[in-house]
Amino acid sequence: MTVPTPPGQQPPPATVSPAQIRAAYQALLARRLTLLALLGGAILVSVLLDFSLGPAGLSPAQLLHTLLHPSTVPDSQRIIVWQIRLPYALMAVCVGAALGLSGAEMQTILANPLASPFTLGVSAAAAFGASLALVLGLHIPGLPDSWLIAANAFICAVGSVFLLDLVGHLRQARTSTVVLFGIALVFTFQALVSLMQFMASEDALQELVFWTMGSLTRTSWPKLGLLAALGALVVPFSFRAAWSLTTLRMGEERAASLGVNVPRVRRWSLLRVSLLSALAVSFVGIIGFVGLVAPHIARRLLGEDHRFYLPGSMLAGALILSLSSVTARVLIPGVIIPTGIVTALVGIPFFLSIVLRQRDLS
Amino acid sequence: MRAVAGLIPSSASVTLNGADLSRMTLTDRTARCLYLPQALPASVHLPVLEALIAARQTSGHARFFPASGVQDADAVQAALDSLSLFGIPHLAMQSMDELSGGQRQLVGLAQALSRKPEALLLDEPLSALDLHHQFAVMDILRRETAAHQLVTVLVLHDLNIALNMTDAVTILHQGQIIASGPPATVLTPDLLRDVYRVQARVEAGADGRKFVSVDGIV
Repeated sequence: MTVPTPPGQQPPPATVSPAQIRAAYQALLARRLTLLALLGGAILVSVLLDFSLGPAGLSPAQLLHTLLHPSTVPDSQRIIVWQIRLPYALMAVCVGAALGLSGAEMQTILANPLASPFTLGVSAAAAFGASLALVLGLHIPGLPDSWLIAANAFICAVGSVFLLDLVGHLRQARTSTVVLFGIALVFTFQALVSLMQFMASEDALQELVFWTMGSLTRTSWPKLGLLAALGALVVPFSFRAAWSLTTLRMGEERAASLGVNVPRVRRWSLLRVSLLSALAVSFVGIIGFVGLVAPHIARRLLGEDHRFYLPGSMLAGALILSLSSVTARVLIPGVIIPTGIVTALVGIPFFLSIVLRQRDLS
Repeated sequence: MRAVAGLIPSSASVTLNGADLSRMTLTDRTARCLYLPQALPASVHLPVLEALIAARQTSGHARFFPASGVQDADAVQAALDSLSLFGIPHLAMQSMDELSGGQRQLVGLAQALSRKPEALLLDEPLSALDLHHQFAVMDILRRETAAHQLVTVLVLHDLNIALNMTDAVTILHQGQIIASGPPATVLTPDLLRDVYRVQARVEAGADGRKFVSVDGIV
């Protein structure tokens, strides 16, 4: 393997002092923290928009009053604010962050810029799980149907990732093989969902099609709480692995020789993100592209130091989904379009620009 | 070399400075005995300085959030020292994906030495370097090996470098050790004919440095 040093890239005489490098590095770190803060600020604005826009046409004063004194306003207004607007807006942020983090870690551990919960079959498996519950009309007494669907979707989604891990582990497969297997899973589960659709009754079919569109309207406080709790549990472990993941980006063999236990880092990371993305997808349905695009935005903005890249991906994902949620409300007045549709439309230009940029580089 | 470094399973026992490597955890083992793969560090979007800091932090966990540990002065200093050693401090703030192959190879070497191992196993560490840097790197490796009493093992294809800059060479051919010993006694015309299938002479230059002169193939 020889990559010649091109002429003209000979190092100039080293005149940079350590103090200058330190200062430059501090400036870089400060810039990254500023960018993270800006992303956070943008999310705040987007959540406020998401919260204040909607078919009911409530004024900001009414919204604030309902938030602060829920017992003094009419029931309809209270329900709109407390049961719809607020949980939807927050769920968009949580799901976006979960998918962003999942995509970021998957792209690192599989060394593939196209890895995401969507492209590795997590979403498709969740859809299959949901279709089982919907089409077979499963009921468990005492459990609301929406929870049964979510639970089924979750189990299938997590199961598919374990299948992915098993293949990688048993066959000592290379990461590209694992990604290929993930894509095979996507097609398999899509075929199975089609089969279920073919067998479904008209009502179940309608419900299933709507489920696969991905919508924040399935949000409820308990679901939001559960997702937030899992996120709070998982995210610290992700951040703790930041250095190992950064080193892994420089090459699997190199990371191993520098003391990273690559199989362990990979397994734990996959476990974390499979739980997180599976839960997010099973609550809101298929939301594509966020998990794929958010890491690329974070990488461009912040570089691949995972101390910044991971939180950056979460924030970018949260911002995209929150903005999609806003768009879904204002695109057609009086109608809330399923968010999954909007996200895909917003995501495709990003996706194309990344693919085209990579071709330029090679 | 991977087996010695503990990266692939092996039943052999390896002792380094009296310590049995094969009984250590992978973390301890890689801290003492460092294998540098032939593949160059990937061109990721990461400043060189951070690539070096990361290489030293792998055994520990990152502190909770970016804010803490960001100004880890020791880590930055060690990274800078290692870059200076290889004469590339001016690359510190450049992104890895802007570097040439040779520059990335130097960064990889700097990563390895910044971890201060007791043994270095380098798989073709000169493959992407120009002539100037090949000799510069060999010089640095010799100095560091002497200064810190390291065991340094290199896989080389360049016989002239092997002849002049190593203490001992081992010739591997089709999985077998053919010869082992001081370079001048091992690298003979007979061996070059048998292993490398060339008709060659080993000659001495005016300053006593030896070089292989190839007349043709056999």
